[in-house]
Amino acid sequence: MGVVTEFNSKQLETLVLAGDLKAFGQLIRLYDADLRSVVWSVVGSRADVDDVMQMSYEKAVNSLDKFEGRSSIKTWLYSICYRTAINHAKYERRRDHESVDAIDVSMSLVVEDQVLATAQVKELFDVLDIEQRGLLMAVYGLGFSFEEAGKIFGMPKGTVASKVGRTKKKLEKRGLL
Amino acid sequence: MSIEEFGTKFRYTAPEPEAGYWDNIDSMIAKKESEKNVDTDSELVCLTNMEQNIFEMKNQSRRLFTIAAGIMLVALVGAGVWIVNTGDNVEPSFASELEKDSEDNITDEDAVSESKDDDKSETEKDRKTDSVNADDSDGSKRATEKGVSKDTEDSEVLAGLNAEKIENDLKTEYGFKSVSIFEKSNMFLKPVVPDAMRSFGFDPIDPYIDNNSGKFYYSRVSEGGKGKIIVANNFDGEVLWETEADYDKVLYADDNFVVVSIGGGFDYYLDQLTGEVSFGLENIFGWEVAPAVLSVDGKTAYGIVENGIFAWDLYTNKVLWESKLAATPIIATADVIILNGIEKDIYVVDAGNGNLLKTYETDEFIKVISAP
Repeated sequence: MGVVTEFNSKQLETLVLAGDLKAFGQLIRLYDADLRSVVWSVVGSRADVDDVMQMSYEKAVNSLDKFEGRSSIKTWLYSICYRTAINHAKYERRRDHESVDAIDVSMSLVVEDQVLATAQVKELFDVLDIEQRGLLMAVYGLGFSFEEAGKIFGMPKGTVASKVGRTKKKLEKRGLL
Repeated sequence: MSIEEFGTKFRYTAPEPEAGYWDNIDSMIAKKESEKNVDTDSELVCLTNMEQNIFEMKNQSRRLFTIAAGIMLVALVGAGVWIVNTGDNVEPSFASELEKDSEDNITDEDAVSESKDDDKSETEKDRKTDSVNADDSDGSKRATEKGVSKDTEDSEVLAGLNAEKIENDLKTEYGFKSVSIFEKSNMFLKPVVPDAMRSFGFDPIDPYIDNNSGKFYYSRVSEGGKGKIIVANNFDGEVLWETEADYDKVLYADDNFVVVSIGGGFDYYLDQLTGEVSFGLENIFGWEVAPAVLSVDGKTAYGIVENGIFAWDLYTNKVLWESKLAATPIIATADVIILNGIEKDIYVVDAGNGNLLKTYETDEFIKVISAP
């Protein structure tokens, strides 16, 4: 009889670093919701989110042996997901408002108290560029510090701060805040 | 609605995975795992083949040895005839033949290693060629764009600013603070935590010592996020005060102020004796100010605003100058400010008036300040 063992994220990360791909499968199940929210903020399309997530995980698996442990695996995964999403968005050449049309309206209605109204989300995607949406999600959606967000997005902390400041200003101007 | 609330709600709009999502990922991982196993198998096959090749090489070597021994024997006979004829007393030994043979074997190995060296030197050659090309296409372009000659004035612009000086600027009694210039070159200077702090159960992040009194020790309590600033006696660890609010880190402290950042774009100035907020940099330009860099004397702050950077006198609350330069201040000395520009550039700006003195690529800058 097989023994089912539940590892926490730290233990799983250790196993992943040792080359255990099954542990990688378990680890991304823990992180997937947070990672996909960053991808979502960039691509803005339900179908594309799944595609980009799968591409990102594949990239991560393929380059796992090159991971040097300078950051946590989670930060590394965020970085891969963000970059893959950006590349995907550029490749697809989607305009922001086109991709938002793919949002499932019923989702917003079911959990209305938790999420933004569809119109608000559409406006958000209209008014903010890819980078600003990503930073908004990372800093205010997921609670990263500017320093942590800087590591993921590959920019200095001060740049993150000023870009987030501009994002806030834009949202205020549109009456979204 | 606050931006925090907005961000949280935005997060909940992210779609759930569609049916079959995890199946696809699991099969991708399984495929990769089986490829990995195949790779391991092929490595074993390779090893086996290599062993086979070595075995064949040894056989060939033995054959060559036999031939060589035959030739040597003929030569010895010839030499013996010659010795007899000349009368010289030479005793040829069998050992010398073995040595000769082993030399032959080494020569075979040398041939392999030489070919490796050849490959290596070719690669180095290619790399050199690449770098020359890169310099041609990139370096000259940059220099032209910036309109700054890089061949001159390094010593003038960076007078008094070298790697040692930067370390001194950031040096505390117990170590160094990390600097983003060094982070770029993957060098992290870790602060050292004094034993007095450890014995009182502190786990300080970004510690700061007041260099004037050497008495106070500041830290935040949690890693990876904001935390309270704790001020303690450096010698016995006694806590003098701690803040109610969470901050990111301590930037500076003297007899009047403790300057802290909350990482959210504001810097606050706390009363050194009580920890209460004296004033903040918030909205002095009608714009949120990103965490600022302080001058060595703690009297001037250099920060980012929407349209560039600014210098602000902390004691008179006056703006000293503004600049349209799009860059992030990293460190300031009495004379210059070093800023992170876009595309890995480093800007050196006059601390007195904000004028751009020079532009470097990051690697070049590190090279310049690290030069003896």
